[in-house]
Amino acid sequence: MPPSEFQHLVQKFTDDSITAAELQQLRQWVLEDRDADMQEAAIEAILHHSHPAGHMPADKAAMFSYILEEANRRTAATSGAVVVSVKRWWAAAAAAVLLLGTGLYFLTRPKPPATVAQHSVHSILPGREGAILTLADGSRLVLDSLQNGVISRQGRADVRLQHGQLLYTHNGAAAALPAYNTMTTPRGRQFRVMLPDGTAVWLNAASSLHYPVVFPEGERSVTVTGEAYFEVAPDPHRPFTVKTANGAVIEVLGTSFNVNAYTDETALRTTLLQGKIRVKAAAGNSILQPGEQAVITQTVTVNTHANTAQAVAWKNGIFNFQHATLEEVMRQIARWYDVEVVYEKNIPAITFGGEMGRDLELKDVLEFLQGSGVHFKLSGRKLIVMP
Amino acid sequence: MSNTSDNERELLRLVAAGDENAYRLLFDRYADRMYMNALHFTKSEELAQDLTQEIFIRIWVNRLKLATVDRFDAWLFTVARNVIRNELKKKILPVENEAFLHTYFRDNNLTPQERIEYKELESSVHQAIRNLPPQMQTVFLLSRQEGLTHEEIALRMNISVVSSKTYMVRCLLAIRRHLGKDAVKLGIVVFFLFK
Repeated sequence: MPPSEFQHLVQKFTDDSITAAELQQLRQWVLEDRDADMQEAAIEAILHHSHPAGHMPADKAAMFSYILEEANRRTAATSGAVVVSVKRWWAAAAAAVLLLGTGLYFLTRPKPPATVAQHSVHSILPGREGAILTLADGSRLVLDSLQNGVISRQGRADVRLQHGQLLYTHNGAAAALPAYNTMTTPRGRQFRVMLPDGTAVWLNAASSLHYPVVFPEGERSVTVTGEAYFEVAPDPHRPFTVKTANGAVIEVLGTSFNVNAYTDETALRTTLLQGKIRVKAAAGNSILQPGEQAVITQTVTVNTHANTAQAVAWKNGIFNFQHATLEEVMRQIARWYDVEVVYEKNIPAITFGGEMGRDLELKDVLEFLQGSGVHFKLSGRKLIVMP
Repeated sequence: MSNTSDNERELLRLVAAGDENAYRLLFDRYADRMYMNALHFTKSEELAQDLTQEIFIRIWVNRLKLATVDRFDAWLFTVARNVIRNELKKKILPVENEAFLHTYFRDNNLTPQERIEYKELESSVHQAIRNLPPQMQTVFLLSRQEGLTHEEIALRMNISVVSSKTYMVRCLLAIRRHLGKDAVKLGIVVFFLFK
């Protein structure tokens, strides 16, 4: 039978106009498996051209979660452990902090009682305040080991540390060529900086902020990787812009907003709390109103009812796992507790809810997550997720 | 138009990277069309749902391949054709399903005479109808008591034409089974319903 004739039969079968004799013919072809490729091509051609109206009566949400579950089961059955590889652009910075930190720790730690030492083997402490400051000349300062006070002079600007926040104060005009500093947080550290114009920036774990020590006339421009929350000081004469590694630019018109630009997240997300910002991606741009979140890939998609509390929870010392998938939750945990997350089998399709303090030990957080039916095994700093 | 396809390419890339929310968007966009197509191939809501589910499971399992796909519908239909042909071979066309198909297609072409005969059978089958699930009962009664076409029933009940027919066929089969125990009417019912 020529392909067109077979397609004609299938077409009649689908639109209910097939006769008994034709049905018999169709049955023979399909059941005897003749020319399977041609049959599939015919079916595909019909699918392309038919747009039947109507809707599926099934509960789509329920079907969708079953689809993910079953797909993950099948993936698990065919492959072994899946190691989630996280891009570690910050590895060098983190190593530097670990080296310095470990050195200091061994030099200064009091000899602990044996029981405590045994306990500490099993407890992974939460992240805390800390960052590395890279100065214009390339030298580095570890901020969590420094006392309050002026820690550096950068041109005409003083760099001071005060109650866990870095402050820039300048006297006189900006130099012709502005000096740039970079604040970098490894995993397990976050930090705050007050820029010379009074803008406050909270930097989440595994993130960096690159900025001039004195903003020049006419513009204020910084570059961020990872995640940061900005409270921009209003200045109509100097617009504030935030650049990210994927090329997206956020233009600020005096405002509070969060930028999540982690490279291991699926998209860059900017959430606006107050004021107004313009988000520019490679193709297209969008102006955000308070309460909106822009999801930025090559284009910008605006979610008009963003959960702003969730977006900035980290700044307030909270994990907000509302509607977060297991993968999203584990990425946050990996960054804050500095652990490597490995999935023993599949990635279970679980969605979480609720909030937790970021000051809890890892085991307490895991205990909470286990309530949702996922299990964990800790081997060193490797966190193994088991269904 | 190009906006939509740009947006879809982005979605596809997100899905390839494991973004379940992005996949949900694609699923919501295409599930109805896939389901309706499957319904026309299977003539059964349950099988059509199973097929839709199976197709979207396979796509998620192989989501990495979506990174290089430009049009999701083309990809969807490529996955679907295998699943559908398999279903035709294993469940829809085999001899076990012959009675269903026979009744299904025959019911398309009822003559006015047959419709009258069905009406006459109303009282005989009343008890059988009461045992049917509510939605099937409604379809049967709209068709056989009020004389509505499947198109009209579909509109009235907000279901598809295929669903209406499927319900009708299953009603008839259920009635036959039910009356099969009723020796008195068996001959005449079989004659009218399944000649």
